[in-house]
Amino acid sequence: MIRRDLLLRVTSAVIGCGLLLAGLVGCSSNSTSSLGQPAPEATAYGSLRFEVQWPNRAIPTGTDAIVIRVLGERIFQVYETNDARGMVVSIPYGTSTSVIDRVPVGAKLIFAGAWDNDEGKYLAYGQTTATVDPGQVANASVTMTAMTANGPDDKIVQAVDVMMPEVEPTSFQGVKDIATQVNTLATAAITTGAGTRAEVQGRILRALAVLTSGAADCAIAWQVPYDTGDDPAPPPPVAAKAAWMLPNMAEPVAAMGKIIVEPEGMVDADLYRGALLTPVQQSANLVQTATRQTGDTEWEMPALSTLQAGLETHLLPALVNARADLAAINLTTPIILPTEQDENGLFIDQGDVQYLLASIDLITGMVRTWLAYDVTIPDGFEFGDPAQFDANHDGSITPAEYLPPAPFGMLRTGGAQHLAQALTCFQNALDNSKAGITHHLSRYGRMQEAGELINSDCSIEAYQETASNLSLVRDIAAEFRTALSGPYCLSPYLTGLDADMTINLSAPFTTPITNIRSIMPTFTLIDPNLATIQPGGYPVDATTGLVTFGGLIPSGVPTDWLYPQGDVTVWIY
Amino acid sequence: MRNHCQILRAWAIIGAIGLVILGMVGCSSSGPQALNINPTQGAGSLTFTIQWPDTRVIPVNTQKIVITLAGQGLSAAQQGPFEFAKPASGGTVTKTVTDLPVVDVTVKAQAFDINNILLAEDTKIARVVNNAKTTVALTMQPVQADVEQSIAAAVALLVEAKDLSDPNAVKLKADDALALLNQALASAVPGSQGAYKAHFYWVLAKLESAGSAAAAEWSVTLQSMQAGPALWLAPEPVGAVSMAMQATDLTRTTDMVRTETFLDTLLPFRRLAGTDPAQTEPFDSAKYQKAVNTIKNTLLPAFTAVDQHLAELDQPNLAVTLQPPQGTIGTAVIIDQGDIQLLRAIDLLVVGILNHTIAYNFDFGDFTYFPDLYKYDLTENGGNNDGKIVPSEYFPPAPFGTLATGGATNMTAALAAYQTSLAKLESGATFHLQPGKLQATGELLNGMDPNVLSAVRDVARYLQSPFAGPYTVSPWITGLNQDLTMNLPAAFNNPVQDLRSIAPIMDIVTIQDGLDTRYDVVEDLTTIENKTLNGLFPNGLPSEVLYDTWNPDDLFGGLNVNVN
Repeated sequence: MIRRDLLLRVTSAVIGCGLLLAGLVGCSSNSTSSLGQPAPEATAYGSLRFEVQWPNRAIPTGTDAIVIRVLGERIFQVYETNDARGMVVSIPYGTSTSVIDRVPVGAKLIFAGAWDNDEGKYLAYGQTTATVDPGQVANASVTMTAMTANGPDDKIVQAVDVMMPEVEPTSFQGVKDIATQVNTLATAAITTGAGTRAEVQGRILRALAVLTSGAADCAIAWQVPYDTGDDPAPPPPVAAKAAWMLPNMAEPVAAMGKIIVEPEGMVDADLYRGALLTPVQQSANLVQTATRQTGDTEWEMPALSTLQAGLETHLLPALVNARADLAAINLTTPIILPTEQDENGLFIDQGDVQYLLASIDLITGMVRTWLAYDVTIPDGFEFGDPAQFDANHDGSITPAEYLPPAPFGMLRTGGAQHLAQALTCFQNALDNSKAGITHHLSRYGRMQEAGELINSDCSIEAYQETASNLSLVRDIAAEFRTALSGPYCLSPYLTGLDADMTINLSAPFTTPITNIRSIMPTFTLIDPNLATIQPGGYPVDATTGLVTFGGLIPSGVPTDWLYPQGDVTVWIY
Repeated sequence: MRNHCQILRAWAIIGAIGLVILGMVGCSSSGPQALNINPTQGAGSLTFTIQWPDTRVIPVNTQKIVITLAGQGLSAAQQGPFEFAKPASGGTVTKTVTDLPVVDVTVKAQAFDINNILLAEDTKIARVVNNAKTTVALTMQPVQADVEQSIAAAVALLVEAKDLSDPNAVKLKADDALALLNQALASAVPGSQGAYKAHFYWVLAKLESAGSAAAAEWSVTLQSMQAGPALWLAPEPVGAVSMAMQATDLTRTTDMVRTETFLDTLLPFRRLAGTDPAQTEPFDSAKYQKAVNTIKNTLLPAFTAVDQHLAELDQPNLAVTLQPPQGTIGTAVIIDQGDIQLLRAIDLLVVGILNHTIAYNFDFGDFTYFPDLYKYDLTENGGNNDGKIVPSEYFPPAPFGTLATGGATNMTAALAAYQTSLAKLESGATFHLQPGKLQATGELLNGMDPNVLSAVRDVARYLQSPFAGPYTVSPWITGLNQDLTMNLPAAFNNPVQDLRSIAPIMDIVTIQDGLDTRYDVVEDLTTIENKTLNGLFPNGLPSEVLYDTWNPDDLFGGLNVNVN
């Protein structure tokens, strides 16, 4: 069996070109039937015919076969099969014609590789696009590009090899070392392969490497124990934790995680080395990571201020740099990113890049929000029995009593800038997720076509469900985007109120409060023995005379929300 | 304060102007305790000041000004009336009402002479805002006796019409009322309470006139349309509209439904429509043309004119108090801008539908109608038995399916009506979803569920985009597997001249059901001549709609690589 993933494993220099003609010949009938005859079959298929001229100057000497992969519209991955992405034809030397019957109509992406059976590698590659129309013949030509050793494409293959080393890292420093090697190789591919697909591949790999390195630095700084157990429990997908903010973004992000981060089912369990983005997941889910037991070791979470410093020093720069690489990508046609996990590689289009950008923007926004306010908690301060906070025994507990002393809760130096940029990040995350989904929904079957990165299933049921759900996610994201742009009207059927309520989600980011005490309520101690309290009052905004929570609710919190019917008991732990 | 007087003097017309400046100052302090309020209790205060000008003309007989307040949660004491007698030497009088809830308050001021005859009045809606100051000016408009008398007489005629069952008699009453209201409008000062009331009752009278005219044309008795005794206001226009629609329904139940059903059958969406194409009665071309004429000559002009009058009332801070006509049961209602906008939304929706209805010719003539479309291919029915039917076979001959004379104009008007209707629906609902609006005293929509109203409003808001231009419809809406781009305005502004250009060729298929053999038709949408349906689908019909017979099992089962 020819390993088609090797198509992309040989570095290239353009030393020749070959011409491969693909003749598309419609084969389905469109005949009519007289009354009483079965219905004619719809003309939704055609045939692909390949003609190869042997020998050819662009087909390197030593080529034993031309391997052709046809991806695209209406060609779906065979369910539960990992080695049949798209239609694949291997044309042995000397063969002049090859035909694939019943090619569904629509846009197609055709990859061709010149395979050297002796060396077990590809000697040249090329790709082109074609559109199959019913009952019509289309021609497409593939320009073959010969490959050279140690060129940019080879650097990419080397980088992928490094990501799956024979020796498993035993520490986060080991993970960082791997990321550094990937970074170096990817940078070389970007530099020497400018303008080629190697640059795009290099930018994606370098982005992931930078994120990994930054996250590993965080883990080192926080003294997180590295899990070397035989059966490591992967941390929860980043999407699951991001879901608190954008619940329905979880699906595309989770799909990314499944394929890139945790290629379940594609790798032998013994070869699993931990996913590339695992440290990022750990960093982005501080609480979850902090409380997660690793093997027999239970990690004691550092002080919040220490976590904050790690994020600011290590992870934030990594996120910024990774984003810069991804933002520089503008794919007009998809590329294949070689991986060891999947011999066919990953089929990446611009929509996938935008999903990655959305993920990074979302994490960056969360990190910047984390960095905005001081979280220093002095030694000895503990949250506990509410009664202990009533220092003056007046029956009420004020923010000055129940919060740690300043600077806790104060806007940090540069905090306003972090919040302003966090808002931009969240807006960009929504914009990019919208654009990514729109890309995949812009053409019939694009999301499910063979090799598509977020392809999760080819069954009709999943196909329809996914398209419907993704579009709903996109449309909800559009509403969130509007809500993040300024005052936004919430209807009674959403709030349960009798009237509209205006919120301004951007206000806390654009005009942040300088002291969280200005929005915190005073509680009334109901029963010290039972440790029960109820809110007694919220600070009034000086400029509006209303309880706006710093402009979050510009027209003021509805009074029946502040003082609902019945008693409300709030516990402080 | 002096500047306010100078500005407002410019509004003086004929009689005198009274100036009321309302300063609303919230009473709560900035402490948390001050906000610990019960929503049913007061949260603000309202102060109004009356300055009796001593230099300009005032109604010579004015002896007092009476102010009344209305709004959700106002106590009887807070509602007034508050009387302000004219000071002997002019000057300023102030009155403060405290503990008001934070709601909209309708403020009505009236000037009376020594015999308690109303000389001038004005009404405004003011928002009591917590801890903020708002100024609202009431411009006292002289009450025009002739205008009021005309309106009262017109209303009396409309009330009398309630008891009549003969649509011709109702129409006479309604037309007389219209004549009186036209007189009132000719005399009334634009923007005055009298003018507003005249416009509003004109709308009611016009709907009653047009509806009864349509009912008369179709010999519909009005007995069942009579209003309930407790509703003195709404049943009149509603009843009139019902008359009109029932008149139209007469045609719909016989011929127009047939036409629509035929189109449902014709188009590939017929399965979605789920309609039964079985219509066996002969088509009556004369009745069809009569229905078109009723719409064109009676109903459409009426509904169009109604919007013009409602537009006169579509003013910010509108507050027109309508008292129950004498002899009727009910309470006063206060018509606000939101009410007008919702009425416009309904009226314009009808305008759009009526325009839409008559844009194309759907006269079947004596064309033989077969609900089972495959029969058009049978030799005995004139078909050629070639296994398919083309539009010229299953369509009645032209002019059926072609744009009617003036049809393009109708389609353009329909689009404009739909667009404005949606905008007014949104603004009218939003108006009523301000705090306290739906619960305000005299509110026409008092009792309406805000959840329903806001849901309808949001749907209207979303629908405005598709009606504005190219719009992406998501798979979760269409059930398709890709985005679908539609351009509704293109279809309205550049309508298809002949529906045959967007009709597909249909293949006749055999269905074997046990021992029974049946036939059906399958549309081959690739044969549609006008691929974009005149721009309705600017990118063409979606691929999966055109080729919807694929399935993956079939696809890969058929994968066959031949190497030579």
